[in-house]
Amino acid sequence: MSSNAEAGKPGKRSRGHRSITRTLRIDEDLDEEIQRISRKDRLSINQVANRALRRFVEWDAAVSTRSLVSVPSKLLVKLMETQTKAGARELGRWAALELFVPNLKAQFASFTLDSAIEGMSRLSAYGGRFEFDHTLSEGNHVIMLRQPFGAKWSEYYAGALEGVFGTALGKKVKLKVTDDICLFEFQE
Amino acid sequence: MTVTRTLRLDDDLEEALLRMSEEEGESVNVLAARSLRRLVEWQRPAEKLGLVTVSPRMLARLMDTQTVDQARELGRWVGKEIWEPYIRYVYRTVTFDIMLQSLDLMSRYSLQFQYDHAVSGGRNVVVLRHSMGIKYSAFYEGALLAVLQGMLKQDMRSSITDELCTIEFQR
Repeated sequence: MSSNAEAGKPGKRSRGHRSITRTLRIDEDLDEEIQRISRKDRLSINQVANRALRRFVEWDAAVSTRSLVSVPSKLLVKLMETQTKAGARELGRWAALELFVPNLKAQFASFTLDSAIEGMSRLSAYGGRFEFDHTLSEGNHVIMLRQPFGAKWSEYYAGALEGVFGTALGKKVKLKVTDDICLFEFQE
Repeated sequence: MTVTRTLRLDDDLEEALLRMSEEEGESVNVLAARSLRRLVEWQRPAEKLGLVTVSPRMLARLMDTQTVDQARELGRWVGKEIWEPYIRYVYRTVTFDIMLQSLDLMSRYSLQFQYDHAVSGGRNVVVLRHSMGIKYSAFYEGALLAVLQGMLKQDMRSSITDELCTIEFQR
């Protein structure tokens, strides 16, 4: 199994699904804007609409329920500057156990390895803060999280991954952290 | 005026929309139009400007390390370096009415705060209401004053509480 296959990713069409025709009535100005995006991105109107709708059902509804907010990424970088590396890692652990795990339980009605990986994938696909990749080969899970906000944010995510997969799921984890990457391994 | 669009949707997406429609008591058409409106009004510019999603509790923890004055200064920086360029990018110009429109959009989509604007006898009052404490009130005060004073070039009165940031001026 490999969760980085296109078909299983948030925002992507899943394999084996059929498509259904639906007719919508939308405001003319909105239709014009969708056409403009379609031309600019060189995508069909159908693709633009499908992406927006999938984001809506997989992410936006959950965001409003969990009261997540949108802020400039530069503000997050500035705010993290005052933390030590150890403080950033501790903050990551706190966020994992106090925010991420309870939110997953609310969203998926359970907290398992699969829901943790799905939750991370959605956060990556729609939250805009990091890229996330997961592979499983012969019982060995490898997770790579890449982010552009500097060493302290890497420490933060290291703490978050330890919290989710180590503390909450009880996996014995191996971790490597650089300024922009957290590489995380554990056995099934 | 409205137009008709025929789309082909994956069946899992259609099922999810039908489920949401039932839960929220709104038609699939209304939900779909809302998601497309959100894409156009918010998501596209937000992506271009590097907006990311975060928990407000996390933000509050990060802001805890700042003093109230530092939070206000951080707000000024965001006002000048991010918010005003955002307005220019989305609307091509910066005016008071456009700034209010951008506050309305942020209030609806970024979910950071609720916003009110009232005018009486030339006296304008802009209020941001939130639940993240006095440091965020100072942060919003700094951001609002940076944009408003930069644009209108006039004195303004401001006050903050744990949940409110209020700016008053004649116009």
